[in-house]
Amino acid sequence: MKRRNVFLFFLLPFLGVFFFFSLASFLGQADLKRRTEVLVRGQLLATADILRVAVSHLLDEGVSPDGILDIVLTEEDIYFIALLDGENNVLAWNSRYEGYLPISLREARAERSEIIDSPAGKIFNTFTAVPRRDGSRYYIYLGYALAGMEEMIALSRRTSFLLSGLILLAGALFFRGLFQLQSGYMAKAREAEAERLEKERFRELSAFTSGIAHEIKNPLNSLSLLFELLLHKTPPEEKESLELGKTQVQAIARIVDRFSSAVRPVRPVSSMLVLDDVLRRAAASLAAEDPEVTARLLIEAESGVRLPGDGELLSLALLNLLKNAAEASSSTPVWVEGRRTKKKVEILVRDEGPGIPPEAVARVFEPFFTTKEKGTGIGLFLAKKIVEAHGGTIEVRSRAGKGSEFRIELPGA
Amino acid sequence: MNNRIALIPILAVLFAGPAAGQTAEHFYNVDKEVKIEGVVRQISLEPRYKGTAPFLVLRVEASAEKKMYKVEVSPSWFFGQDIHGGEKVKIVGSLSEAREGLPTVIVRELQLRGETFTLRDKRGFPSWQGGPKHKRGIRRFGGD
Repeated sequence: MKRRNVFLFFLLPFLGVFFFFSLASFLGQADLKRRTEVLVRGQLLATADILRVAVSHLLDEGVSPDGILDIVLTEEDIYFIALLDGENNVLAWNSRYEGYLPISLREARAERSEIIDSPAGKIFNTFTAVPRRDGSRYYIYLGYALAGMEEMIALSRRTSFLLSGLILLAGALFFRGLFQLQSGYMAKAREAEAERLEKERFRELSAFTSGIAHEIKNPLNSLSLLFELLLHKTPPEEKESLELGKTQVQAIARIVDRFSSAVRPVRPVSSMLVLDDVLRRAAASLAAEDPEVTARLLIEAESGVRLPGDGELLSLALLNLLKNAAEASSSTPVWVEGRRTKKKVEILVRDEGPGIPPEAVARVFEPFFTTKEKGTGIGLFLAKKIVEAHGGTIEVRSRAGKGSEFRIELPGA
Repeated sequence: MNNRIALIPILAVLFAGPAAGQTAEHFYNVDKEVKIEGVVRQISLEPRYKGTAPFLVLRVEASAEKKMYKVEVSPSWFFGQDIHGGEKVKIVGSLSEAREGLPTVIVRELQLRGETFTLRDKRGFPSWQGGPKHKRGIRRFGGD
């Protein structure tokens, strides 16, 4: 999948969702902050009103400024408080923080409230006039904050960050999974396309090969008959040459047959088989073609193992594997083993030849691929076709200098 | 015995005279900021605010006007620097009420041996308090 497509289909929607969540969260925070400010300001003004009445009474009763502060300073949300006279002289004050009374007496105006940013947070403060019975005026300077409210906002902010983090994480995991699924699907689609092209190529090749085989076999039959006739009419001393000619014609016919059978679709006629019989039939066929191999062919089959399949075809597949193994080395043994594994039947054909070159291992089952000087590239391809037509699998493992092992797995009975 | 001796200054800090230094005029007045350059003549620890540890207080002779000031620095534990009589200092602070016939300056910035120590912010908030937002990792309302 192209990078641009990844961005358009995965990243962009996710970023969009995240952006809208962040925006909603930010607006929510701002609204909460605004509401809190309104609430705290209301609390401040209410507290200032209560204090104004209380301080006015206490002043009228002649209580000293320090005494007044001691009486009124019970509210824990008051950060600082100062009592001033009509000329803005501080008569008494108290603060949570040593010497901290952030008032500018030059700028102080009665009934004006403002917010001071301090390292301890935002402090709402107000300058309130306190009228006395005798007509004189005093002022209260009050700093106020709601610690609980600030913690609530901090908690809300943390929750928002946490949610954002979780959304990011979940989104990342989700889109990663989706991307992997998409990548897997695309890879399978590519494989399917390659397989389709391969099948198409093979179909064309089959049609071509069948056509050639058909065209060659007719003249070959005529040639074979001609050699037959000539053999009858030729004197005995000339017959040897004619026999050689006839044998060569028959060899050509066999090669053509092999090519034809390789490209023909395999249609097994299934019956219940005994594994041991299948192996021994293949071994007998090999012995008929090359009697010398018999001495180094070792067969080991688990007794009583049965499997459904076409005996002729399976023997042919095994014969091709055995021939391949026998040709790998002229002196080392060739093993063929058969056994049951769970619900499957496993057949192993092993040799101790030089092994298949690593670059050729992946291609050994391709039609017409061969590493042998006189090979046709048909045998292993045909073996694979037959095994797959039986619903089985075939694979090869090879190590340089150690030999090769072909493993067939077929459905058991 | 040694433990008992060690307890004495601790108890002195805990039970320092509650209102010994705090008066109506003794606060960081943002309207009365001054700059003083002078020489340290005397160093002492004095109770200043209700229920707090004694403060480092210097007597500084201003070089320009040859006038003596009482300079309130910070709680002694916070300043944490060696300071000696005769050393030159530059001070930015708020002029407070006169004590013992000497005007008092509450220090915001103190420059000593070329190094500047910030003891309060521009509105007089003490640096040693830090603010609750530093204590529990909670960003306080409206902070920053």
